[in-house]
Amino acid sequence: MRSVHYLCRKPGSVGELVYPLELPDGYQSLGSFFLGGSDVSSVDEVYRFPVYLDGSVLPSELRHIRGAIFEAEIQAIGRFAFRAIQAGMPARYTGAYPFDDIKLVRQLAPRNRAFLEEVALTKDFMFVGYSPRIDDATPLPPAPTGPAPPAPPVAGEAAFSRR
Amino acid sequence: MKITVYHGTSATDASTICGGGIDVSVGGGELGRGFYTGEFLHEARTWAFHRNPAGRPLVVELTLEDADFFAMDPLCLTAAQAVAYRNNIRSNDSTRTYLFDEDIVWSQIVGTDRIKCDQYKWESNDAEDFLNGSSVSRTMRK
Repeated sequence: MRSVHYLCRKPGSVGELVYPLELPDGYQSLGSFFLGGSDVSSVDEVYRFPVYLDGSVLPSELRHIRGAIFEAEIQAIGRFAFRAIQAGMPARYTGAYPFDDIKLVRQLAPRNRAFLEEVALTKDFMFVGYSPRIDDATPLPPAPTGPAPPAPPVAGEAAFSRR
Repeated sequence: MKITVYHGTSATDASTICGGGIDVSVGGGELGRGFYTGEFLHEARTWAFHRNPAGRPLVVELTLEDADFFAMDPLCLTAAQAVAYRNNIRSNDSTRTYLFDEDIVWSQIVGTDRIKCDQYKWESNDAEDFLNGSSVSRTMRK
């Protein structure tokens, strides 16, 4: 089964994608969820679509409903619909990790972004998709809390933003 | 009225940012040099998860008065303008250096016009002082 990939645009290139871990230090570029394939008309019926819930990464499936519509149902969280829209331009993964898909032909757009935001705010839930980070996805330590004391300036790494 | 923006990052950098250590001169992105924030927590958290191989994904939540934000007269780019700037910055290899000579640049994230998500690039010393100052609440979200 193929996976939904979380990929970012490679700085200084056109149509090239890399995993977030492969971006230069301090470079801030939100990624998107991509589906691989040989052409835009070929979509699978089911994709792996890992999710993050309460500090752990869990498996889930993104299922083709009809046309460009896909859906993922997460127990105790809810049902999420996505449109798999044609990527703006032909895109390829050009990083260093093993990668089976020839092209990244479609990007996922959530039907209800407000619901995604609500469950992120209230239930420690988010879709994460696949990157090599998933292979190291053991349960995580508790998060630090509260503001920290002053510290030296630092690069504004990562994005909110992007996504 | 307050507005909230998010910045996904590592645990170390989140501590520094919450302590008032934002440095707009260090980071870069598709619109050049600056400190980038976005409007959605779930986007920031997903990014932070994949970007940082160890530890829990952390997001810094910055809450500010929208009157203060608009008083800095942000440069608002249309989607077409953002694409044009992004292409120019990319072709000139200036993602780590380009400045608009503004305090804040407010733009859609470039990528596809069918997946909309806004970003704010804070690029001036005044913007940095504002973000690090007492009028902005900087807290970590797990």
